[in-house]
Amino acid sequence: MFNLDHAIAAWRRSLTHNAVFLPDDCAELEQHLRDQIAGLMAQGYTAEAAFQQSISEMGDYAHAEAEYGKVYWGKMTRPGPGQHALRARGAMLLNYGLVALRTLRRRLGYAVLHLAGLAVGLACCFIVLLYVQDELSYDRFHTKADRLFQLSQTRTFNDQDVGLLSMSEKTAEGLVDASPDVLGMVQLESETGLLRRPERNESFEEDEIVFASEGFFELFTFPLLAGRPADVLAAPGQVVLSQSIARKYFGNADPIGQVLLLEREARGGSTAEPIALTVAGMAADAPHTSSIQFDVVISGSTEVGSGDGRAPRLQRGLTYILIRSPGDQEGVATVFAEILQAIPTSFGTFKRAEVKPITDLHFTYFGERTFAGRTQFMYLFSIIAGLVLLIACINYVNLATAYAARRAKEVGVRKSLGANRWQLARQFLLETFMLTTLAGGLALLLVWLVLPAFNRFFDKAVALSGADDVLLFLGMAGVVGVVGLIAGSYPAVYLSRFQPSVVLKGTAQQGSRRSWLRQGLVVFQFTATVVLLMATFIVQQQLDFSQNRDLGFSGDQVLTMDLSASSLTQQRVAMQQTMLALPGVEQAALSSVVPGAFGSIAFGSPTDTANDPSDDVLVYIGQASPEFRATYGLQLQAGQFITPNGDGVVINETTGRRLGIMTIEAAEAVGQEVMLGRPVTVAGVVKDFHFKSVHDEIEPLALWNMAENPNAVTLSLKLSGDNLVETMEAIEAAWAPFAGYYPFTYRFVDEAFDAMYRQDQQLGQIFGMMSGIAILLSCFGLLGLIAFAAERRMKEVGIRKALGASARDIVVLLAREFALLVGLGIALAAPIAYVSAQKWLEDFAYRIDLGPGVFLFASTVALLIALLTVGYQALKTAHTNPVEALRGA
Amino acid sequence: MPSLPKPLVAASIKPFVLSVLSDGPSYGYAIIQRVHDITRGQIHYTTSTLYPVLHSLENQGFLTSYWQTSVEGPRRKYYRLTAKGAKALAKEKQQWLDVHTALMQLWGPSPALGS
Repeated sequence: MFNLDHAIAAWRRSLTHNAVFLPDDCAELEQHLRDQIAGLMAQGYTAEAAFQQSISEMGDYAHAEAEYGKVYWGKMTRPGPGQHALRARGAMLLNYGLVALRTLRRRLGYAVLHLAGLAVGLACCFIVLLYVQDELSYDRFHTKADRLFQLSQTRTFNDQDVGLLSMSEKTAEGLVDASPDVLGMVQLESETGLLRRPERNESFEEDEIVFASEGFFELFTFPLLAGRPADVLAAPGQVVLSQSIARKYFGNADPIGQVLLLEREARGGSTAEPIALTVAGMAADAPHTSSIQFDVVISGSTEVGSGDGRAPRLQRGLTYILIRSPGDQEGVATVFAEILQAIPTSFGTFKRAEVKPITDLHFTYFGERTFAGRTQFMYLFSIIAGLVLLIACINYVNLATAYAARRAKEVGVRKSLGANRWQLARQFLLETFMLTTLAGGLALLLVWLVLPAFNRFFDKAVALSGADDVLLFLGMAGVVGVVGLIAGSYPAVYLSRFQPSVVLKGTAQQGSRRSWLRQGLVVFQFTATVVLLMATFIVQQQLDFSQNRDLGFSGDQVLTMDLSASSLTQQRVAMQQTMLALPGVEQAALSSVVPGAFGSIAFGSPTDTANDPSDDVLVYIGQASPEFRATYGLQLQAGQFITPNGDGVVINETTGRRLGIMTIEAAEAVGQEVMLGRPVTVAGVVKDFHFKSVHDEIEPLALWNMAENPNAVTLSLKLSGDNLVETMEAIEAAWAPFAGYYPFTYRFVDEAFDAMYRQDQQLGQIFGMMSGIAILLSCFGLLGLIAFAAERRMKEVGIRKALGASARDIVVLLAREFALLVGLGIALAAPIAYVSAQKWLEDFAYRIDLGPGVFLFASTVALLIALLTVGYQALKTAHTNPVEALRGA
Repeated sequence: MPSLPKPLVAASIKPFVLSVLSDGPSYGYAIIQRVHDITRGQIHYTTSTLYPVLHSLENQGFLTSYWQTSVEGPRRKYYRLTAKGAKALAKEKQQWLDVHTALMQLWGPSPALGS
């Protein structure tokens, strides 16, 4: 049967749920509807037909909502019922807030931990946001960033891909001529050198000296503080200084027109005469988010060398182009590939041409892992922070639902006073948002405190300056909002579900049921935690493995000094003898290469006796004096090392194997003739040692006797390690008479090698820190859950004890369930960790074998910590006096 | 009678409501009925048209509202014209008359319309 009152009530509900219909409006509309129905029924309609007709005449809901919405604020703000409603809403909000605060205060300890957990999770996320934002902002400051590209090529050399960044000026210009889409081209080459003012007797070593083509300041957005972009590099001998370098040499005086002398080029040849440079401009320091860094920019047309050898310095270098529009990239790449293919070259075979956006350079640099690993690092970092935040959210969900019973009465009272489910859900959601916002504020404070340490750790200059980064703060606010939603939704739904009739009778044991969701979340939490823990141990193990691996040489207490300046090169033997005579110096060797110093290693293009170029092997070549072996503790496998007068070559085992001149015994290779640019005889074979990055496999290497007129020379000193300070002072004193105004600079080989582990160490430390936080948070969640379970089962425990249960029985009773959950989490974690770790280890040429040990160890640690947490609370409960437990109701 | 085009209904709702209320306080359903009768069905407001307009006029201070229980029972929300509303009505009236006069001048003696 159609019931008019029910029908009207149902219709009315559709209005009351919508805020634009005030209670007053609903009443008015309802009376309207009743009037209309009465009118129609008077005309002979049935109640049902009259109702349907009236409803349809009222027009559609969306239209009504829109129209009422237009006058809503006017109604709310004029004196009258609207304002009352508004005030009532405000009062309700205030009440929600007060109740939330009271609830928090009642369980202050947990509230603080909740807050701290969320704040730590959020802080991790914020830092990652800052980090990612900083990483992504690299090279975007150029106003033409979307149209700037770097050229490079990949060539295949004996089945090995070799990336080449540097190219000749001719090739680069060929592209500019061939493609109308290329609007501009700049080449540059960086090096280190000594600068001094002619009138002073003091020089400084500068690391970021760049020789650049004329258009450098026009193509790139490096603002000039003095000078015009088109002029400053137009003529030979012109130089642009960065602001800080200008201040270093000239203080506050105007540097324009001043002269500086470039004393030495560390790489690529010595200069007989110092080069006079005229300061033509001053540029703002390059931002830290620039892949191109410079202190000193010299015009590429500046001539170096002496006599007939004088030539413009910039003949080849890194090449950047500006194209007409970003869409032309592929067309330009095609033209570039054609040009490269047409060039006759003996160096391997052409594989592909690359035209890379300048904004990608930060992530896709050739060679060193530090660059290639950046994207991976960024993802890993984000995932870890997300996991920590999720663990914090889960804690909140678990505890909020576990403690729901305590708020059941409040829900019951509110519901009987007329609150509907949605209003209650809103209240609890609001509570969560209050808490997360507070946590967000705390997190911001935390980030601000941690940021300096973070920057030092990562060599970053990330700043928390909100003024210019609205987007970042919006992102942070978004994260806080999402966290509030994730953490708050389920508790809100769960709490608002209580039936007042049940909870107010006091018989309900809400939250006592096993919640599958809660158990699932605990399992997930421990899975995530244990994965992090396992990752920590694996990264640490790999790190120990690489650091303690035999590198094939000993860089311990070996110090290197750069003698590549021409005046120093000429005195090299005298310097070597003088240094060797010093007490504390055990060995002294001259060489063009030292382990770990990449710059000094030249590319060789040797062949074996066959003439097929595809059989070519890439061999790194270098020169060394006989003392090189003793200084670095190299192991001779066969034949003899470099002798003062011998002209044979010393190769490493890899060279022998790759050239096919030794199969089993190193001695096979000795005496054989090979082509290394010219035919040479192998005099000896040394055991493989890491002369490049520890991450790479050992490559072929060949060493010659130090030539009469070497280009680059490094003096390596093996120190005894006793009285290091005195030894260093003695070396510096011995240096001075030879060096004139060259500053005493040196480095330890060990330090150079340690630097190669830096990124792995960073990763290890991040994993360590994050898994520590994750364990702490997970255990805190566990502690809350078991404390709740113990409290709920207080009477049960009392009865059991009264009937003779021992403390151990009680502990087992309480802890069993949680131990199972943690165990399940661990079981799930192991395969996840195994697969991820395998993938990470693929990058290492020399890696550990993943045995069950790491997994067992990490599992045991996690289980122990979890059991300790659970056991502590269980034991506390087990030792309560049963009388007290039973009496207190 | 066919209903009038929407823009005309929308434009005339303010003078209609104010004019109906100038006869004395009334409530929504009665206003709709009155306008319906007077226009012989050409204008029939829906609730979602009329009530927001009433509320808007009240927001502007042209009307006041009060709940009144009639003798036979139902509580209804009545709207009463204020002094400000009366002034607004006078102004509306003048504007509509101006339009009307102007149109009549064009149409009145016109032979085209006369035939």
